Amino acid sequence: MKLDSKTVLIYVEHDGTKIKKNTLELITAVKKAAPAAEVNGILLCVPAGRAKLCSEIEKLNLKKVFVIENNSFSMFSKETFALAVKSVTDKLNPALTVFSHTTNSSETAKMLASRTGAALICDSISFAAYEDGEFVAVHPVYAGKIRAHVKFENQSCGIVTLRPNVVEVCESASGSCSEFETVEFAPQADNAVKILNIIADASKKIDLSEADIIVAGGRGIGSKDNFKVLEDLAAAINGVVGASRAAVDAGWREHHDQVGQTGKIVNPKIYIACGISGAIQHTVGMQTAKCIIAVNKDPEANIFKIADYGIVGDLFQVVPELASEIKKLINA
Amino acid sequence: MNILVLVKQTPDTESRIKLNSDNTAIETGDLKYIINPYDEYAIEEAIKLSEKFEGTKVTLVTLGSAALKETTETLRKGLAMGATDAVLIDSAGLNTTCPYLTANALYQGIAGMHYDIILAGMKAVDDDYASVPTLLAGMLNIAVVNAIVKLNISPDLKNAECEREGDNGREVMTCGLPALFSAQKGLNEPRYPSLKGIMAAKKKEIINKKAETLGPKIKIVKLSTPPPRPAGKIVKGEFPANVKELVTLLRSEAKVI
Ligand SMILES: Cc1cc2nc3c(=O)[nH]c(=O)nc-3n(C[C@H](O)[C@H](O)[C@H](O)COP(=O)(O)OP(=O)(O)OC[C@H]3O[C@@H](n4cnc5c(N)ncnc54)[C@H](O)[C@@H]3O)c2cc1C
Ligand SMILES: Nc1ncnc2c1ncn2[C@@H]1O[C@H](COP(=O)(O)O)[C@@H](O)[C@H]1O
Repeated sequence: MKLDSKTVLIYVEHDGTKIKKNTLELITAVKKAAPAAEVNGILLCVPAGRAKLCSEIEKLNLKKVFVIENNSFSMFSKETFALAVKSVTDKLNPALTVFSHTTNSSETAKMLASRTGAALICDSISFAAYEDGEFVAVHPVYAGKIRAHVKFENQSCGIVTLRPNVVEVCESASGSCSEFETVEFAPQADNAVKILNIIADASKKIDLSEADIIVAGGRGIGSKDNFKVLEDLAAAINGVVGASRAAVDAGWREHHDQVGQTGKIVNPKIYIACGISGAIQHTVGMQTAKCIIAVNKDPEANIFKIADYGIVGDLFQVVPELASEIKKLINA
Repeated sequence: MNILVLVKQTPDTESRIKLNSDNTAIETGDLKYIINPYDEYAIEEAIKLSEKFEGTKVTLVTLGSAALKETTETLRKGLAMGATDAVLIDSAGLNTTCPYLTANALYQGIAGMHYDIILAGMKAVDDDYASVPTLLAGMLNIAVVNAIVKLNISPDLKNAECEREGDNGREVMTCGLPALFSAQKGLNEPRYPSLKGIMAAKKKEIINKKAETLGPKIKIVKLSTPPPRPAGKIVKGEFPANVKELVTLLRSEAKVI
């Protein structure tokens, strides 16, 4: 499939009041892969959120944004969200529909593929026009040990999801968008799955896969309470706390904090691994971080092989000192 | 109750993966295979349900090469854990790098089989697409909930209540049966097969099936290895001077703070 001057639809992700950074990442990536494509957006929101969100969308480099307002969007449902997107793709016929690969948006993308039969390339880390102009997405396989370059085969339209945090937002994402079209949508009785409740976890500020700074702890932390030293460092540098599987299996952290092959694949700017040995199943989940810092008392630990900076020492000494030095620097 | 469990064999997560000479496939020569870790959660959940609901049949379904002994070994491992039956859909001649074709072959393979629920892993740790369950559920026209961490089936087998981690918190939901659920870590702790289970599994018959292939919707152009990370440095010196030095380097050299 060649994108050339074809139509692209970007799924605008937001938290109810603010457009998420990953939406800008999508625009940047599409503009780079297909400079001549016509890039539109789709916004699903509750009526009360529209004005605020649209005022932010006005600063984006999109030709036109299709807006669907509905109170049912206050709770995430992949079925409802996918059908809403389908109501726009049915009439716009975009060659490509692009989602961020967050937990919810990737579910919507898969559901859309399942409902429309459109081809799907899930979880890509970049895309580009290949030698012959074919659109190719790069999807990590074997937990990132290998990269597959994937194209759509004999398709007139496709869906692709892009991992958050892998694209540096460029100026090409900003522009002015003043064209909004309201699309009518009545949530149908596609009641296959009914959401009863969403229990928010107050401690979970930001998802690991979208975090810029992660302070992760492993078996070396020793107990649930000891994670306090990591919480303090994270608070000092505006990061979030992650964990190795050993720490999760010990019951010190929740499953959604786990980084690695059977946890989250993360791409932060800074990853600080404390008391983590660096088993392959862990490192495949964080080796694309821009800067890896390791603190371990064992100089032979594997984690030092992939760390940009390492400190050999007791984390209970090093981590608090690191927090206080960084605070000093930031406040200076 | 009838439960189908979709299982796939994947390279051991410890494996080093190497590319072949023309970068079109991986070298499979000395790879060790395991049951996809997420599929173990699916098998365990099925067995737990079979302990709760008398007369439950747990049928493992795999799409894999019938010519490889690893494929049957994977099924035997699942049978040893406590599954009652196993079906092998031969992947010979099928393009299994496209999730649609995989879902479609599974769809053909389970046609005519009875099921109240289908359990799968949330993702296969080889292709990492995490999309076969949703695509298959779409073909079967049944509900699907991915990455569940909790599952309850109503005694009359009409409804399920389940939970998963969404972006905004823990989602609690219900759906009618039949439905497909894919398992996330945290759902349960997979058991080890008992000696008795291992012996019994050896005697079980594995049902072989075939599927027709379609044209793929997506295709791998080539494979590559990610750029290696340049060697890092250990910040030398005594504590706390080394920590101070690290913070200086983070600002002046790495420019990340
Ligand atoms: C199928 C499968 C999937 C897996 N998936 C994952 C996954 O997704 N994520 C994951 O993380 N693992 C995963 N694992 C587990 C993985 O193989 C390792 O067992 C795990 O990562 C080890 O965790 P750890 O580094 O915290 O513990 P350990 O390997 O025990 O390392 C602890 C480290 O802490 C250091 N230490 C101890 N005390 C101190 C101190 N006071 N100061 C400084 N350093 C100290 C030690 O020197 C040691 O290096 C998986 C395994 C399998 C088989
Ligand atoms: N070849 C296969 N045979 C049986 N089940 C499969 C196969 N491929 C994928 N699955 C199921 O679908 C899940 C997700 O796989 P994937 O979408 O490939 O990441 C796996 O955990 C399996 O339960």
